[in-house]
Amino acid sequence: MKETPTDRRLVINVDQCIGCFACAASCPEKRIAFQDQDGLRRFTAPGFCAAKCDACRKVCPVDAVALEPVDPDEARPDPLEITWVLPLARCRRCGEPFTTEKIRRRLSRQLAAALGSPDFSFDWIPLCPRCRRDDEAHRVRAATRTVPDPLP
Amino acid sequence: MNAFLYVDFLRCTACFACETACRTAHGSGSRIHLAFADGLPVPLMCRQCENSPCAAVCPEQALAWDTTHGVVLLDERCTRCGLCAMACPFGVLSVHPLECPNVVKCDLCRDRRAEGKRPACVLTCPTEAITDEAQRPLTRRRLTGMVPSVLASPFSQNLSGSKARRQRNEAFREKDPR
Repeated sequence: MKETPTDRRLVINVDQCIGCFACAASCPEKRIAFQDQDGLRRFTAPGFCAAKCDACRKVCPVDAVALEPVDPDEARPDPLEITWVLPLARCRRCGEPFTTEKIRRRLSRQLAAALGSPDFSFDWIPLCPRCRRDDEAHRVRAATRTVPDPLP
Repeated sequence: MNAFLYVDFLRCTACFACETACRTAHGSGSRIHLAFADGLPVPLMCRQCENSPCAAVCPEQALAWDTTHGVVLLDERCTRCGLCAMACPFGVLSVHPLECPNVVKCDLCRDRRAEGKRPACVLTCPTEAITDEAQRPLTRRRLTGMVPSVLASPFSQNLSGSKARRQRNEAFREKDPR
């Protein structure tokens, strides 16, 4: 028997969504999009998806994506496109937004749990990648200062 | 080959050939980043950390460290969520979900090594500032007498190859033969 594709409603749990882009990256038809603008990460996704695929649901690290079956005869008041926004975190030094506030908080927590020790601080987490590289360049230069020849 | 690239950044001339070679070899963004400290160039790439923050935060355990390969990305597990990029302390890991099918991270040219070739940046660097042989930058530094303070003990001076120092060492031995 040949299966017919059925529409399913895409439901996002915005409270759980941390604003990573696993769903956008995994969608084989690139139907989920995101854009960083005005300090917000705005996701755009179709309200219904007929493809026989649940890549976005599978890859979500926080299980915020659900695909609910829809009765084909049901009237559809829902919008055909859904959007949700998450606030971005800004780099403490240069002020550029670089990830979402939720990801920044999640990483601080996870790193403290995985690698944390009392004398270890995760001072790079509030910095954007570019500022982290600048810091590292200064550290490397400072750590390898050479000494004058010890012989007379 | 071991799991590191050695960078003698005193030799770096900021020509950006490594970045270009990296882009060409991988067909995507450069995994090497030339950063500048007070105008002086420092090529940065994945440090292959043993206790890697990127591997610690990966929700799919797609990053794993081992002695011979460093931090390895398991492509089939990676969902490109980008958490690793935000956890990297050195800012040398990035994810471009819509442009690049992979995590942009130095993999020590895994594909090239499978063919028996050396990493692209190592072959390209005109001043040998980047190398995959640990011994070379250290020997060179000893030869030029620019040994970091931790290595500048009297014992390491015997390893020095500079002519002036060899003569000084010989003169010293003649005075006090042991």
